[in-house]
Amino acid sequence: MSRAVRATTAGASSALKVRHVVAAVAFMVVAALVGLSFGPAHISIGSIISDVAWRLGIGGHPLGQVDGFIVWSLRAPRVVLGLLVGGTLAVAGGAYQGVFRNPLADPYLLGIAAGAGLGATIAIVVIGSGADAPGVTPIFAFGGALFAVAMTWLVAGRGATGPTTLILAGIAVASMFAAVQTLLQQSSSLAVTHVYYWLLGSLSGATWGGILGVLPYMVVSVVVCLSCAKLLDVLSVGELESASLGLPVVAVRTIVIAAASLGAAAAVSAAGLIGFVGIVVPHAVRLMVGVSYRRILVLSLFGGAGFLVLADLLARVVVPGAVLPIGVVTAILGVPFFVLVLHLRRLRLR
Amino acid sequence: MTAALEVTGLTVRVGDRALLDGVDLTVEPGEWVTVIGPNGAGKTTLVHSITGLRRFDGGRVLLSGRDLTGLKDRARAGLVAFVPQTPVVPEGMPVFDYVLLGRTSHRSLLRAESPHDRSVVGEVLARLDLVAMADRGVHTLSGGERQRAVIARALVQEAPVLVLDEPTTGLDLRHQLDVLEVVAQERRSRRIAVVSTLHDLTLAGRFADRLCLLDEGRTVASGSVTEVLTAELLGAHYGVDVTVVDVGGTPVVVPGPRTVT
Amino acid sequence: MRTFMKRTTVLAATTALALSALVAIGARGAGASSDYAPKLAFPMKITTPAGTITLHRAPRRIVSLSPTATEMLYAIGAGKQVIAVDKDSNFPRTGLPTTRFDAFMPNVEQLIALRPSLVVVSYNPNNLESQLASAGIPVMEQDAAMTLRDTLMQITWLGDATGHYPKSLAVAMADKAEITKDVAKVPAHHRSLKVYFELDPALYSVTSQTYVGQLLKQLGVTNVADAVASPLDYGYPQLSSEYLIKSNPGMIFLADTICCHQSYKTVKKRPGFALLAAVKYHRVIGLNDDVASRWGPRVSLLMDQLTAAVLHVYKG
Repeated sequence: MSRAVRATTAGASSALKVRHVVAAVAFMVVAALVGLSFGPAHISIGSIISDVAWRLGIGGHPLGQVDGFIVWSLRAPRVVLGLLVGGTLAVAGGAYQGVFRNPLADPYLLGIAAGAGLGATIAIVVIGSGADAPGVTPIFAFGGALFAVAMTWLVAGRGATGPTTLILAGIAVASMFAAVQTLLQQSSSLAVTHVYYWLLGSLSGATWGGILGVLPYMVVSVVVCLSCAKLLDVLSVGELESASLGLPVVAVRTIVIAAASLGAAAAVSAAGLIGFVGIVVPHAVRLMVGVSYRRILVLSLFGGAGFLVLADLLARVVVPGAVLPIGVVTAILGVPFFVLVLHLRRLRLR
Repeated sequence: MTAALEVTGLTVRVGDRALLDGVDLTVEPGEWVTVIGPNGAGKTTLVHSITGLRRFDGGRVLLSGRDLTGLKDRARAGLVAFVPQTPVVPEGMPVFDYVLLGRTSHRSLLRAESPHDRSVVGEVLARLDLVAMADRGVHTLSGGERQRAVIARALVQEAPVLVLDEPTTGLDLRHQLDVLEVVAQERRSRRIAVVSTLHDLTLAGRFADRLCLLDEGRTVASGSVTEVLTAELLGAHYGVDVTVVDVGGTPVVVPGPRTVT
Repeated sequence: MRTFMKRTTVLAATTALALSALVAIGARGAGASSDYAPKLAFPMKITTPAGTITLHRAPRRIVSLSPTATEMLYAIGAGKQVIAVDKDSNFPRTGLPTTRFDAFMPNVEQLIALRPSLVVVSYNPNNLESQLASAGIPVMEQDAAMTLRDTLMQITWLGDATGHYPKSLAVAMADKAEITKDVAKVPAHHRSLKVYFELDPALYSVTSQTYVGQLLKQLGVTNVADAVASPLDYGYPQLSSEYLIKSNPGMIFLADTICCHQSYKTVKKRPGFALLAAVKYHRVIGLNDDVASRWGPRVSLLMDQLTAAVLHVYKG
């Protein structure tokens, strides 16, 4: 092999670079620590570290009962849920973008948002105050989301006809579910309020039990999507050409959509509708490290996790006595970023 | 010796119209057959059918003796490589990675590429004079370079049959020759069977071993270049008066009747 | 000195005795709270339909996340124990604490950091109650009342829980008495008045099953919303203007004067409404939104207003 050739093969660029992963993980870890250390209750970082040391049996001393409760039973599950939801949504969004070859794809494309909304509405309206019991509304939302995706799938002819049909079917199903939801909501103004706030998205209800409930789905979703990342790179040359290259296109599309939807449905059921994470984070990563999904998905996992935790921190401290709906914070952070991305893109293409 | 590609009685119907009606085609290893014919004759349909990208309703396609219909995507990609007319250009993908996609069929789907995959790509890039652009995005290449990259991707598939659909689309004369020379060289050195469709009849004649003239879904002529490129056949099926002139052994098709000087 | 002590002791003892007697009588008193046996002493366990709550001592740091509960707490004399309320709590008009929470999206961490000894809610967003319970903070859930009895019970539960039972009983009894007095004023024979009770300019109304609807029912009026109610409305149907105009109510109560600035003038301007008897005879009564939608101690005030308006027609 000639020297020139050897040089090129060494520089094959779509592989995952270790330094990128390290940077992304570091970002996530720092975000998690910051999220754990800050909040409306002023608990010094030193005392938290001391508490951790005490728990590990290496000295230090524990936080007071109330402070300890705040850090470990309030902030900690919140941060962990934020990491899980942020990471899952970012990976699902990236995977959708790969399957649909569309930078505007987000995890709610195939009716997940409408399905979860309808599920939650059914729980709140039909069951009434019983829906406040932990775990009830999320299960309905989860079921509703998956049901909506399944319907979209069927309406689009089991996905064999291509991504555009799927998107159109998703729009149709989402519209129908939203209509039914509105009909049900009319019954009571308290129901409307309740559903509205649920849909706005919040990590406030995070409990360790709730996290365990959604964890398996998120893990499966992320693992499958990450495994299929190379296949998404092949898909980027289009359905026809990737088939000619030997990719079982329909099978890959089905599996990736199923996995991404599972993760997004779990995320929505645990934390309501949190927008922008699924679009903005994969895009940011793409801008920084290139178009290969092998890089984008892994780095989005950590980037999305950290991003959501930081957004939640903002939501918790900005308005005294309240928590801003996290969907609002991600939009406020996400929209200017999006504008920046578009601007840079225009500059690059010129 | 098994034919690299053997097509018998290929039929494709849409509604009650036949896009292809009983087409036969056999290509030996190392042979180059070019399919010509007027617009709508079914050339692209034929090409998509024999590469498994489109279902056909009747007939049989054998790739190195194996029936196309039963083949899984991966196995098929190892037997026939396809170069589309207007390839999708994924923005931002480096040329090396783009060509590397051709190795998809050579490893299990979930595994990363091997050093062998990388060295195959490196060699093909060298042969096609693309090494200098290996790290550049595919979208930054000129038309001719891009076409070479697509061909490179098809070549790394290491399939015994190479099918090209209008490989000279949008290229200037120099790049058209470039591309066709590359294919000619590859088929000579690796004994690949080549099937291509071409609009330019002269170029078709210059590079192919045999020609197949398609009209309204049927093979109306098949044979050596001189047998097929005749004024009568071309005039009958293209509906245009042409003159075929022999220039140094190569037939040149000139539109319009012979003018007496 | 000893005489002073002796006198004070006697005074204290007598007061205690009198109070106990009052409580004993009151506890056996007529009506609503006769089936609630107050605990009176701490530690106490109070069981309500929403659950059981344990209090080790009188709570000195109360957070109210319900405007109605806030009204009740201040009415029964527990105001000094309240350290934070929700953003919509606005009555009484002075004396409320400055620390505010959003009842729908409360910052739980901030709430817990205040170290409250009792939190009263009427809405449970995001597992709030279980989170507070895990932190060892007693939560009293007081949902929107379905009947007047619920109101009276809630007042007395709060009274018992905060160490103000006698006062709470007095407040509840006073409310009940006032309402009974109002109902008694309605003449035995009268031509039934058709009434439209408006919650919202989009013509949302209340059926006789609702809290307010029951009050109206006791006044012997006909609620025009009853005829068009369906189970899907859950008691709050939206009327069509066509139906409303056709049913021609003789009196309109507006519970959207503050939120949506409705009044006789705005109602008269609505297409077709000028024809209504209620508008023609100037029987469009504006109510304070809060008084009309809460179920607190001011329910008697609401009933007074409803009764006064209705009697005008019955007697006048």
